[in-house]
Amino acid sequence: MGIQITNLNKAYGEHQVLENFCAEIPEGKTTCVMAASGKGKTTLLRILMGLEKPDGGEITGLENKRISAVFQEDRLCENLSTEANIRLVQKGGKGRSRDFLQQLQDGFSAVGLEGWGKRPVKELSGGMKRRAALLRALYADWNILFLDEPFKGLDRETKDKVLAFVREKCRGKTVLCVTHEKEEAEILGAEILEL
Amino acid sequence: MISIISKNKKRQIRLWAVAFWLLIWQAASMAIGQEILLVSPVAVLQRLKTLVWESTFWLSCAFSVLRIVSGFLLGTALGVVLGGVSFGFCRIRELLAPLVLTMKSIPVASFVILALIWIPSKNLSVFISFFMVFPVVYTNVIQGIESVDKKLLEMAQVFQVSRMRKIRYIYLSQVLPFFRSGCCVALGLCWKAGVAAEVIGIPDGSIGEHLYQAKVYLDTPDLFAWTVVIIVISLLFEKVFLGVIDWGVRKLERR
Repeated sequence: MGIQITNLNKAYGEHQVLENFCAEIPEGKTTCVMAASGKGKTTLLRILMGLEKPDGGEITGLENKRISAVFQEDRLCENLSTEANIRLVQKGGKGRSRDFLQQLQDGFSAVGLEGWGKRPVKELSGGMKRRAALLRALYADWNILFLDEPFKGLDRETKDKVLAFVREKCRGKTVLCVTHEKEEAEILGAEILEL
Repeated sequence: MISIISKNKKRQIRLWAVAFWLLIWQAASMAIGQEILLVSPVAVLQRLKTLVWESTFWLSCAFSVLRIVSGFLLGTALGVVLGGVSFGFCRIRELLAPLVLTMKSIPVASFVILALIWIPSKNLSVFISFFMVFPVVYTNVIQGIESVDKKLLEMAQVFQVSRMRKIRYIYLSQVLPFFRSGCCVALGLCWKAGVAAEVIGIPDGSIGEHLYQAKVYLDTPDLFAWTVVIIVISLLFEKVFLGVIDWGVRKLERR
């Protein structure tokens, strides 16, 4: 069963962001949310992640689910290394296991961050931080992945590489991705949900 | 944090600047020509050379260092613990607010005189040092916790990061710069106030007692020599203490 959203309402003061919004996010598939700026894409994601309370409506299908996310901002601990940021969100001692660290190295190579794992995040460029945030989300233990403009700030070549990696890692999983680019949705093989 | 440490390194005192002021001091002393009014750095150095061979010198240093450092460590520990507790429980914060404000506002001299009624002069510097350090560290720790990036906390909530990891990797790394700068301020204050308390309370065998005697007998070389000793000890302690904090930060960042 996917995520069912029924009559979702959210307003900030006088500004109604979501009004009786209904949707179904299918399980095991990637769905891209598309809309113009200020139409409530990020608000929808924040409500689904449990960071905002809706004014009304119902959401089902998120019970007992492990969530992972790439936020609109990178939200990395700047003083920690890239690897430590990824290990921070691992459950128990998984982040220290040899298998995991090996997989992580493959991830670093796939997104063009090889050799940057041990460096503090503050030494990374904007695009590198975005990729580090993506790796953190992808390597966490999750059933549902929320991506809020995950490829912004990446150049063409890097974006293609990262998109291919994300598509591979998300195959058969429930992913909700906010994007402005139709092309990204196509590469990810996603269904499009217009707000 | 590393940027804060390197900024501090840039601010380090330069030898040439020290030499310049020593020369000015020597010139001023020679111009005045009366050691009782302004002793020369050479005379201070000579007095120090004789002092370091006396056992009472080392005993007095140990006496004052032990007490002032104890007060500093007590104030720091309590400031950290109560700062953390106050952030979690707003009633405790409200309860402590008037007390902390009072501690910050009371002039040291009047509190030293008042404290002399309650505490034997021997341990007065522990109390006064604690009294100076606690409000500074407490306030800085609270400010540090308040400054923690809410977006990182949301990230931790979404990824269900454990409480211990949150404290260690999110709170600690953001509070430490505030704690460090609080300690920098508190270190200076505790030595000034601690020695002032000793000068007023005149406990036997303390640095403060020597300063008091130097004042009574108008022994200016002695007064300056002991002042130099206080500066050196406080700088050494500051270096060691902040060095330990920086080492801890580096270890945390290397994780």
